[in-house]
Amino acid sequence: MIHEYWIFGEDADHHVRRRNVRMETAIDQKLLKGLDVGTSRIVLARKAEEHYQYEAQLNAFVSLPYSRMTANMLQREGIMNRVEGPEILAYGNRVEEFANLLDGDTRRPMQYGLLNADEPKSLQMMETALSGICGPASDGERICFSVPAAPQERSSDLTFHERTVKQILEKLGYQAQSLNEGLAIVYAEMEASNYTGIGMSFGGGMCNVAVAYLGLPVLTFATTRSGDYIDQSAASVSGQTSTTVRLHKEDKFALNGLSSNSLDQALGVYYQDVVNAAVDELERQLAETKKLPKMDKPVPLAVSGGTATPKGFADALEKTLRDRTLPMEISEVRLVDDALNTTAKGCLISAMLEM
Amino acid sequence: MIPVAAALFDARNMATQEHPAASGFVETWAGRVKEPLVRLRFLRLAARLQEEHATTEHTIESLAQFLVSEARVRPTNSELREAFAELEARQPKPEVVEPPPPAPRKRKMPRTIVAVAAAAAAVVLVVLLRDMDLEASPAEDDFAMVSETIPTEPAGPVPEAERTSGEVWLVSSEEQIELYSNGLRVSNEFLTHTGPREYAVFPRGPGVNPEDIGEGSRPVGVVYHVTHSELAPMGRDNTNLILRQGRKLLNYIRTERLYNFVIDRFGQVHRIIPETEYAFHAGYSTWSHGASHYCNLNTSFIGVSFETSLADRDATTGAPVATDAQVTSARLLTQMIRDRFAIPAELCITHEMVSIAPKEGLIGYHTDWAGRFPFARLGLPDNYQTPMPAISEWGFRYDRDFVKAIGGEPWAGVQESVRSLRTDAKRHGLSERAYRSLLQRKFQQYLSRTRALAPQQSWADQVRQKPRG
Repeated sequence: MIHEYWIFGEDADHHVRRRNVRMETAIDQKLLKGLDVGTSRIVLARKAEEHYQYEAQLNAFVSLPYSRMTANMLQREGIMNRVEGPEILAYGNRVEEFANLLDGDTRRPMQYGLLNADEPKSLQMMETALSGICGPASDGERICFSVPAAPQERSSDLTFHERTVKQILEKLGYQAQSLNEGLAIVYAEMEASNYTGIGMSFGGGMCNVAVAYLGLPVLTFATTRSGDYIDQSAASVSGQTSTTVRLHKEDKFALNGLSSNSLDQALGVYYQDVVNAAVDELERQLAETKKLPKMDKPVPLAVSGGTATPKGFADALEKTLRDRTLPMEISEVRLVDDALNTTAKGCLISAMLEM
Repeated sequence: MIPVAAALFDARNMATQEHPAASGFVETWAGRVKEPLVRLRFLRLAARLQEEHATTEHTIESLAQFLVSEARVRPTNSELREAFAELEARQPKPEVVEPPPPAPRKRKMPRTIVAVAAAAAAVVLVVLLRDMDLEASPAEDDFAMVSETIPTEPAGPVPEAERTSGEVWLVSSEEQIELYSNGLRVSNEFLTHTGPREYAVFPRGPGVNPEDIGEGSRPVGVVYHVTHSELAPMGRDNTNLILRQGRKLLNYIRTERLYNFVIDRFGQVHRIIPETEYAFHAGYSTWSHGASHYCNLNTSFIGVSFETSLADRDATTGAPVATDAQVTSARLLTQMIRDRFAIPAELCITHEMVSIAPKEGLIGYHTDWAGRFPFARLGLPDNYQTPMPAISEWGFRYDRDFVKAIGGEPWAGVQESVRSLRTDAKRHGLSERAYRSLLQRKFQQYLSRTRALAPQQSWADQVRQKPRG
C-alpha cells in the first residue's frame, strides 16, 4: 500500500516547507504472486485470505491462418492470441483442440525447461502468455517466478531464459525475483521439517532437484529427462504423436509393472529411465559436494510435477533410492497433494518472505 | 526409512564445511515459531547473520528480538545461555604466537654518553622546529606539523543524575514490549534490521600517525533528532489523529530505516533498529572525543528521534516542542543506552552539532534542535558548551542561513570553536582561510577512507541525505 505522507521542514529562508513523500507500508498479500514457468504449463498462484488460488495455462501455441472470423472467434472464446501477418498464433489451454483439428502438433515456446532456441516465435509467445496470465501489475506488485537449475552444458541458456522472463515481467510493472524450482517444492512442502529435505520436481522439460537445510539450498541440479523425454521416446517406438502419448499418460497410465499395452510398456520403460537418471545424478552430486551440512536426523523427500502424478511413481522412486548409497538418511518419499501447483505455491511463499 | 551406509556417512561428515545456518539452537528456536512464513524468515535471518560473521552478541540479540517482535515468543534464559555457549564454541581459536627469541645482548654505552647524546638531539630538534618556515599556502606534507587541539571539558556542573547513573537491566519482555528496571518501556512493534555496526576510528591528538586507523563495532554515543513530521495540535479531541499520524510516521521510518529509536508524542519509545545495528540517521556528520575522530555517524552512534518539528516551536525558548512524556522517556532511554554501552554523558549530542555539508564546507546541514535541546532534563551536561570538532579540527564554517535556521546566534560551543580555530591559525602563522583549507583537505581524506571501508553505507548516506531541514 502506498501512503502519501507530509514532512515539514524549514528551508534556508526559514519557510516551512511541505514535502510529499510516497512511502510503502506493509505489502498487501494481494499484491504478491507466484509463477511456475514450466515447459508444459504456466501456473499463477495467489493468496486470497487463507486459501491459495491457482490459474494454469498450457504453455503451447498453434498457428492458424488469419481471418477476421477466426480472430473474432478466439476473442469470443477468451483464447489468448497474437496476430503475426498472415497467421494468428493462439495460445493456452485450448490449443490442443485446434492441433487435433489440424492433425498436427502444438508448438512450444519452451523446451527442456528453458526458452526454445529452435522456435522462432518463442519470445513473442512467452510475452503473450505472461501478459495474458499475469496481467499488468498494480502499484508495488511483486512476483516470484521459478527457474530450473542450470544443466551442465547449458548454463548460458539459463541466464538468457531467466533475464528474458524477468524483463517481460518487469515490463508489465512487476518487481520480479526468481527462485529455483526444486527449492520452491521445499518452501511449499517442508515446514514440518524446518525446511530441511529434498525437493524434486518432475516437470515437462526437466527434473529439478534441490537439497535444502533450514531453508537454504545446499545443492541444486537438473536433468533433462522428464515428461517430454518420455513422450517423445514413447511416441518414437509406438508410432504415435507426442501429444497423443501425453494425453494417454495423463489419463490412464499407472507405473505398476509389465503391461500388455505396447504404449504403456514403452511409457513404463522410459519412466524408469527418468527415475534412474534423477537418482543417479542425486547420488553423484551428493558424493561430490563439499557443502553438505551434518544432518543428524533423516530428511523427507517431496516429489512434485505433472510427470510424477501417475500412480506408482513415488513407489518406483523410493525403490530406486533404496538401492543406492547416499550420505543422508531419507525418512520418507511422498508425492505432494497438489503436484501440478506446488511449484507456483512455493514461488508465492518466496514472494511473501520479502514482505 | 531408507538405510544409509554408515561408514560413508561418517567419512562425509569429516569432509564437510560449516553450513551458514548449522546451529542446533537455530533449529530449536525455529521450531517454536508456529507461523511457517515467519519461521522461514527467521531461518534466513540466521543464515544471513552467520554469513556476515556477526558477533555472538549481535547474532543472539538479533534472533531473539526477531522472535519477540515477529513470532511473539521469547527465548528462556537457559536457551539464551546455551545459544551463547554454542556460538562461542564455534568461534575460531586465536593463533598461539611464539614470542620472538631474545635479541643478543649489546654492549651498553656508558650512561653519561647516552645522556649527552639525547640532550644534543633535543636541542637540534627544538632548533629545527623553531626555524621551520610554514608557507602561506601549505602543501600536503604540512599535515604532520599541524598540532591538534583537544577540546576542554564541558563547562558547568555535572547534574546529579549524570554522576550517579545506576545499572539498568531488562526486567521482562512480553507481547513486543520490553520493561527495564528504571521504568523504561520499549515497543518492538516496528522493529526491523539493517546490519552490524562497522566503522573506522581515526586517531586524534598531537603526533599521531594518521594511518593508524582502528575499527569499531559498538555504539560510542547517541545523536538526538527530530522527525520534522506533521503534528496535529495536542489535545484530547485529536487523540486518534495523533495516533494515526504516529503510526504512519513509524511505518515510514521503519521502511527507510532512519533511526534506532523513535519517541512518539505520548512518550512511547519505539525500537526500530536494534542498538547493535546501524540506522540511516546522521548522514554526513562528524564528532571527536578523546583520542578518536568519527566520520559519518550512522554506524558509530545510536539515533534517537523525537516526534516533533521545528515548525512547532516553543514560543519562549524557540525550541521544537517536546512533550513532558517525551522528555521523561528520553531520559530513561538515555540511561538504559548509556548503561548498556558505557557511553559517557558528553557523547550524547544532537544532530545539528554533528551535521555537515562536506562539499560546501558548512556545518548545520540539518538543524534539528536549533541549539535548544533540553540536555539538563535528560540528566546530561550542557553539551552545547563543547567546542565543535567540525569547526576547530576540520575547518568547517557556518553561514547566515544557518543563523536564520536556528533562530539566532549559534550556541557557545560553536563560538568557542571559531575562537579556537583562529588561535590555532595564528599559532601556525597561517591565515584563517589557509588553515581552514588545510584542515578541510585532511577531513576529505578521512571521509574518503570512511566511504572505502563501508561503501554500501556511504552510498545509502548519500541517497538519504535529505533536503536541508
